[in-house]
Amino acid sequence: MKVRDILLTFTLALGTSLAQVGTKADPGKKIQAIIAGHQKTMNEFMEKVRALPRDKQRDFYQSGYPKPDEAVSALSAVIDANPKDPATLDALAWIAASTRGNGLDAKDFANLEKNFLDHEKIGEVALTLAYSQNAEAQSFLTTVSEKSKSKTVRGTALYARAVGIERDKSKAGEYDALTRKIIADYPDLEVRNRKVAVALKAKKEAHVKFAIGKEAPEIIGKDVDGNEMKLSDYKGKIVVLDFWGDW
Amino acid sequence: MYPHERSLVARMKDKPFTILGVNSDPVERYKKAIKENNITWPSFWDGGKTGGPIATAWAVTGWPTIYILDAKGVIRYKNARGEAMDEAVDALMKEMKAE
Repeated sequence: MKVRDILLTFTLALGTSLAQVGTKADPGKKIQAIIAGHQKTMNEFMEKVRALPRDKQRDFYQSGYPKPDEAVSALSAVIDANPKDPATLDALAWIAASTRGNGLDAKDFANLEKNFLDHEKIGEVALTLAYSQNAEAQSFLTTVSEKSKSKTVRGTALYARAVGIERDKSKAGEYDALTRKIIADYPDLEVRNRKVAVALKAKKEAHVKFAIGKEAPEIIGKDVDGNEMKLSDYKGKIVVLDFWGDW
Repeated sequence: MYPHERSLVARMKDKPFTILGVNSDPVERYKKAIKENNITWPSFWDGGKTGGPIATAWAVTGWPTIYILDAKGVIRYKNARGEAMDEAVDALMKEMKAE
C-alpha cells in the first residue's frame, strides 16, 4: 500500500466516524450549533455594515443580508428526525422568527399543534408570526388562541392576531372584536413585559377622543430652540398636524 | 413626503393654512433634516424620542401619523397623505369660503 492510499483510507475512516458522531449527537446540541453558525455569519455581516459610511449601509444591507435558507434546511432535517424533542420547539421558533413564518411548512405547523400547543414558548412563536401573510401561519394562530391550555399563550396568540391586522382597514371589525376579547378576558396579560390589555384600552379611548369630528385637544409644547408653541396659536387656519421623524 | 409637503405649503402660501409638525427626532437629526429638506413650517419638538409627551398624549404609535384640522380646530381627516391630503385641504378651504 502506498503512503497516499494509507492517508486516503485514514481520511475516509475519520470521515465516517465523524458522520456517526453527527447522527448520534443530541438534537439540542445540533440545533444550537446550526443557529450559532448562522448567528456568527450575521454578526460578521453586521460588522461589515457598520464599517461602511452611513449612506452606503442600506444598499449593502439589503443586497447582502445573509439568508437563513441553509440554516433552515439543516434545522428541518433535525426537526423531522426528532419531532417531539423539546429542542425541536426552539428550532421551529427560530425558523419562524427568521423567516416570518415562511420557512415553516404544513408539517411543521401540524407538529407545533400536536406536540407543543401548551408550551409557554408558543406565545413567542405566535408573536413572530403576527405579520406573516402565510395562510397556514394565520390558521395556526387561531388554533393556538382557541386551544392552547396555557391562558398566557392563548392571550398572546389573540394579541398576535390583532396586531397583524391592525393596519388593515378591511378587517377593522375583526380587530375590534379581538382587542375587546383581550381587554375583557386577559386584563393582566403581559406580552414582552408590556401590559397589553391596559395599552389596548388606552388606545381605544384615544381612538374615540381623537376621532374625526372631535375637537382637537390643545397642545402646549416647545420648538427645538425652547420657544413655547401652542396648537391654538393656529386657530383660524387649516392645520395639517404631522407627527413625523426623519427616518 | 418632504417634496409633496413643500409644494403644498407653496401652493397654500397667503392662505389660512399651515403644516404643524410634531417631531420625534434627536436634536441633531432634526436640525439636519430641517436644513437638508428645506422645511420652512413649524414643528413642536417632542423630546427627541417616539415616546415623547405629545405623541403619548395623542396615542401615536406609528409615524407619520397625520391629522387634518379645520379652521375651528376640529379633527376632520386622519392619515390623508399625498393626493388625499391635497384634496382634504382643498375641501376645507372651499368650506371656509362658503361660510
